[in-house]
Amino acid sequence: MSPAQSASTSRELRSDDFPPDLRQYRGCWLAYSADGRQLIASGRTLQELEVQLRAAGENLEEVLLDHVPEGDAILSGSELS
Amino acid sequence: MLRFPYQRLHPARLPANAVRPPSLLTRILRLLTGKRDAPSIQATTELIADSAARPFVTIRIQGPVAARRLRYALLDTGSQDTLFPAELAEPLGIVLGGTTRRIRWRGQPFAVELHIVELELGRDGITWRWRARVGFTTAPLAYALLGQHGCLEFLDATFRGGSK
Repeated sequence: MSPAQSASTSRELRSDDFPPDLRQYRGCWLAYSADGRQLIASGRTLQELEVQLRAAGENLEEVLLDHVPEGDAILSGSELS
Repeated sequence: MLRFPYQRLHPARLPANAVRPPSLLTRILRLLTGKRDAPSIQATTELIADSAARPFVTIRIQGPVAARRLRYALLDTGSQDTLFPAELAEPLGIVLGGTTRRIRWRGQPFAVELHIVELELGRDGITWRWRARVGFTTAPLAYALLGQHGCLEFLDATFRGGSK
């Protein structure tokens, strides 16, 4: 493995980047702009989300995806056997 | 050298099991014993969020057809495998339905199917890429888990939790 230069515009993502009303997205997939600053779409499934992103002309390989757990969820692999 | 600071998750981003309010019995016992009321749910979630600072990274995963970027993946020394949600496989061009193995969470079995992908971590203009065998699972992951196989086995990592 060797490092390579990248033109990435990524920056440190902070928890306060989240909109205050994130609770309404429990169970949803979210798409953020490539720099993580803006929530641009949401969907109950990843497929639904990507349909919206395509319709909006977004680059599916650049947006940042996130899934908000709806119920109990695995926080670490140490919970698995 | 890549440096990834610890991050806290917004309380609403945490799964329900991390923000469970006290049970009715607990509240009654507190009332009977005269102990102080439990903090409000809001305060509780904030405390949990404070304690949830972990080494999250943004990761790019390249499949045979396409790539996707995930906003949160945990550098998880407690995880044997690198795991992604099964829903992510199809957009990458990975067809699930082959040989699976099982993992158990809270006694319940979930399928894991292993595939070769390319993973990429980047920060401050430096990018690391490597081919890795990772699992796609139906288990309810709170976020992708970057475990020993497929990720940490390739990295020399220093966890700098004290400087978060």
